[in-house]
Amino acid sequence: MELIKASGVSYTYNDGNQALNNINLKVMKGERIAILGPNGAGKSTLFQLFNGLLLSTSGTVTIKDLPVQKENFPEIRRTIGMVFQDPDDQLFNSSVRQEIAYGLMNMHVSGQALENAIAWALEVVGMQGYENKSPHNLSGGEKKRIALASVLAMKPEVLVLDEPTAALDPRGVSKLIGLLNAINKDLGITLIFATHDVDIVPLLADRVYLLSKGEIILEGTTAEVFNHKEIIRGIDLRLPRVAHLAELLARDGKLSISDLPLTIGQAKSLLGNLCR
Amino acid sequence: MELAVIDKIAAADSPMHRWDGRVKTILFLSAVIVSTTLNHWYLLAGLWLIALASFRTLNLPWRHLFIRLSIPFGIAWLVFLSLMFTNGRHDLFAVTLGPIRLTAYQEGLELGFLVVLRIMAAVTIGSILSFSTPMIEILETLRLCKVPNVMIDLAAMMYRYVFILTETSHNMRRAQLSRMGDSSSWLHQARDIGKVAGYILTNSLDRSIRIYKAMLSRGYNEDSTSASFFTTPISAADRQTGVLGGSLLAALVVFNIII
Repeated sequence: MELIKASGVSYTYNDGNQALNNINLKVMKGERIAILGPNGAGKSTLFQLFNGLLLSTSGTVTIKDLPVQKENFPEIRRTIGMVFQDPDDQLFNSSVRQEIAYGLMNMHVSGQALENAIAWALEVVGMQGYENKSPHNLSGGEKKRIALASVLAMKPEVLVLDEPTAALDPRGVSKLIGLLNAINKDLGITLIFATHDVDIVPLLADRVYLLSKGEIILEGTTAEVFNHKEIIRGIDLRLPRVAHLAELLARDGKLSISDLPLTIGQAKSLLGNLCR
Repeated sequence: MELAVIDKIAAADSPMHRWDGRVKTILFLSAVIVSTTLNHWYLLAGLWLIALASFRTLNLPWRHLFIRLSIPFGIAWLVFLSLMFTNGRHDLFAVTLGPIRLTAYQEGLELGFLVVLRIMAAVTIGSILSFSTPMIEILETLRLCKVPNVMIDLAAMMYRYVFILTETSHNMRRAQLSRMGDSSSWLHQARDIGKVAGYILTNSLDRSIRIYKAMLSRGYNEDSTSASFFTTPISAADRQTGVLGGSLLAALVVFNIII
């Protein structure tokens, strides 16, 4: 089932800047999709179109076959949970509990169901006991988790994450990747995230759309997209570190490989086979 | 004192900190109101002494309170002087400053002293409340007291984002200083600070748009409400202490009327 479908979507800002041009994409239930692109590629703009925060200037975006237009906003916003890049933009309530309750109350959830949903969301992100804390006293990683919980509590079918690992330390990145994968696997929530951090893409995505200057220039599985090394480098991105190392070793004739390893795990098994 | 420090102090542990925020806020704000209505210096002095004794229970260094009182004390001192030399009929003494002769009056002295005590008592009580109660609890108690939601929400958001804006302005100023922003003329420096202020203003506007979008994405509409902050009832002990404190305030008001 297509959860998100964009057909010939373009978006031009009021100042004449065309952020997106003829975007076509499909997101199926349960998928993990990366929108990979350099800064200014149009990733955040695209995400805002999914949630009805912006309306396309041409083309159509549909969420579960519902066109993104005002009368469908309640259903669309229930389906698409959006986690913003900077949690300080998202966490505006006085306490963590109020923050998580916010979306639920807009869905008219109350009483015990509200309390249960808050407790569940905090448990999923591992932040039990933070209910009465103020969001501004939390660390960057904790804020990210609470921002995620505030959206998860609404039980969306799709989680849209804008630069999910931005401003996180390495341990925070690892924890978040584990958490997002668990959310996808255990809860069946579809993931779609925007990033320019190529190292997290193989860990968190099955399919990749490569976005540059408002246009999708490549799409495919993670391995397929990273095989187009020149295109990736041509838009100011790079290969994942592991792949880059393997590429250098192959160039020096020290390694013979057909597919570049993209994760530490893949590299480990490749080197393990060679050492045998 | 930095805002973050105030928040840490309010989250510390002491008998006063453990007291329910709702009871404390209502009682302390009532005490501030009472302090402004008392007409006898000894009642005010008594209230202030009780407030100072309460501060001891917070286990905080006195400097926190002194810093908080320093500016109001300066203002109170100016008010005291202006009242003493302008108010009353019965001369106490006179001061000659060049061609100007100032006469201090008995009534002015008494009124000035009363005003100083009022200011110091009110600020001390307010400070103890802010030292022992997180700002969220104070605001949410005011919401319970039927202060309009829009005022509470605005205050809560301002409090929430003032940390971020302060940090941004500090970072920008540091960036200016790192490029020798302090070696130019004072006019140039004033212009630099003005630029920071301008940036903060536009940055706030951008952020407000992003926050609004985040709210919309979670279904914000004109009927949106906030979840209640307090989820547990006030304990019997906290309620009794509140009643005791309220009775003391009521007694002060009654004495003030009778005497």
